[in-house]
Amino acid sequence: MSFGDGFRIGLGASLAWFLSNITLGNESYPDIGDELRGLEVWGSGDLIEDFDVGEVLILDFFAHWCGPCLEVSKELKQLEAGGFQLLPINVESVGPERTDAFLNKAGIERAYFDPDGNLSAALLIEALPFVALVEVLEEGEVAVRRIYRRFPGSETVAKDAELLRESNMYSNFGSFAKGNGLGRPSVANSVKSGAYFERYSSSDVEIANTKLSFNLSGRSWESTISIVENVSELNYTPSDRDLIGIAETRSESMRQFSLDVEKGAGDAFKALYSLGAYEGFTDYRSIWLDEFYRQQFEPVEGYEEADPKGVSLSIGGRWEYVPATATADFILGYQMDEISPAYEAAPFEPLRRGTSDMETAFASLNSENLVSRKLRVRQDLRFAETTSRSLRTQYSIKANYAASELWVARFGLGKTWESGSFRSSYWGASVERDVTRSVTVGAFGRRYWDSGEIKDPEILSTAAPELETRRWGLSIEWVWESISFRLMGGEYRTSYGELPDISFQFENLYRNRDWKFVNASGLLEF
Amino acid sequence: MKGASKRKTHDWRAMPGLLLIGLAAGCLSGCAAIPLSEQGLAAKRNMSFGGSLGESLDSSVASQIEPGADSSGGAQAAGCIACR
Repeated sequence: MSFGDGFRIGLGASLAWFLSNITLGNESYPDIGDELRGLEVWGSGDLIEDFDVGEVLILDFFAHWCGPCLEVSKELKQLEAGGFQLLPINVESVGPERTDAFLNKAGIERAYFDPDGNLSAALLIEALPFVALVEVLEEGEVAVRRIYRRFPGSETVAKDAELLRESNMYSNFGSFAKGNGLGRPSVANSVKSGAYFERYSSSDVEIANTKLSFNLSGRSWESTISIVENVSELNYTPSDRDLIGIAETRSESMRQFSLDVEKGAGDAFKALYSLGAYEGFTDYRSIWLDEFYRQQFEPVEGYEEADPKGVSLSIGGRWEYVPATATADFILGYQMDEISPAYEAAPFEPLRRGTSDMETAFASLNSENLVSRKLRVRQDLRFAETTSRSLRTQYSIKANYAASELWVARFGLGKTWESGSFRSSYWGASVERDVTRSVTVGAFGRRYWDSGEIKDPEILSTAAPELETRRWGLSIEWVWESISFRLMGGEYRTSYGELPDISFQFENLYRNRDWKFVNASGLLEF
Repeated sequence: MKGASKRKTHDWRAMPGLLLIGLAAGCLSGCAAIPLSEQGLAAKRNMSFGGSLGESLDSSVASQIEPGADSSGGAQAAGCIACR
């Protein structure tokens, strides 16, 4: 079975998987009367007051570090005006001043604290936000009537609470199905807008990359639209031994559009869709080679001006197999590129134009795990097959380690294999420290190596020789209420190995360069 | 660059299989849920991957220059788009 057959079978299987319904079993909860009465009033430490028999309570569990909790708490707070009894319950003892700030933002004046985590344990809470409806019964019992692992909106909660209050329709239920949503909920109508700018400068090449992104999310879906413009300015300098070539300044821009959609498909599943398109040269190396071929062959019959462009699409799924702790993604994709081709001339023969249409099929498997309370790990494994190339395998692992409340260290390494033709590896590390609650500073370094693609040094080729790069720099990040901004800068050094003498025409393409780079990015959340 | 020639002597063909095993082991290591009260540190903003402002170790421009580091797929990621 070829890779293409496997790709098609996998694509069909994943489509069937998403079209099927995923049913999860029921889960029963014991009487939580004792655990509820163990709650303390936040700030005073007094025990919670008792409740009247028949009363329906809305339990809203939160922690100051839980981003979506704020919106959930704000929404639920509004239900108090309708006569509903709301119990905001904090589960975090560290950073009480941050909990107070959270309560201020949410407009909550009275909250409770689960000091020993007994109530959270009784309700099997693994992720926040977590909302539950409970009913106070006779003889001090408190019964769980509804669990929302994914927040369905305050209207739904109010409707369920009202039904419970008026008809007591759930009174005979001994168990309850989980809420049909993801363990890590999304909040309705959230909008984020991001801007990213990156500029790399060397003696003969300047590259500026600008990206704008808009993220919209509802209760069970999230979509991101991204627009990228990449401008490359190249001072093309031919080899001194190139008798035809002339020095030329060339500027090219590449524009790219992409749409990514995540759609909830069950309690712990999300479907992932992605669509993208671009037009223009994707890197300075292809511009350099295009200029070389233009100067060599433009007057010759058979030469065509290059028009690089491409489209891509992918489909996949995310399984959150331990809520807020572990996820696995599986993605299948296809990409079609029209590239700037190579040319070859031979005496008394027409000009030969190389392949310009390239197809790529790829599959990736990614996992993210909270291994301990301080260590988060992400692994990516990817297989790709491109026209006229061997199967390419890529693997990377990243680890983020919170050494303390203030320090975070990040590590990453990766490898790529392409049978008989190409290998690469990289590793990097960064360390970041919170200077204040709003400001984080950091330093980072990264090293990359690849084997190059020269198969036979006796044959003229545009293939790159061995490459080694080093990048290091500093970063500073500010975070305010709903705005965050980061500035990074540093140096980047690219060093190529020896180019075979027969390919001397490309010695200025594959020369060593010292780059300076700056990166600025900002994010605004509505 | 000297270290590079040594790497060529390794048999890389077995690596994808070994990596699959490593990936599975890594996934299983996350099967034990971390108690809610201990998730605070892991929820720090810079503990997430591909966070809101991206990651300092990644760069879209550097990935244009490093053909083996690009994970976006397509001809560019294939390493050499104009090789003969």
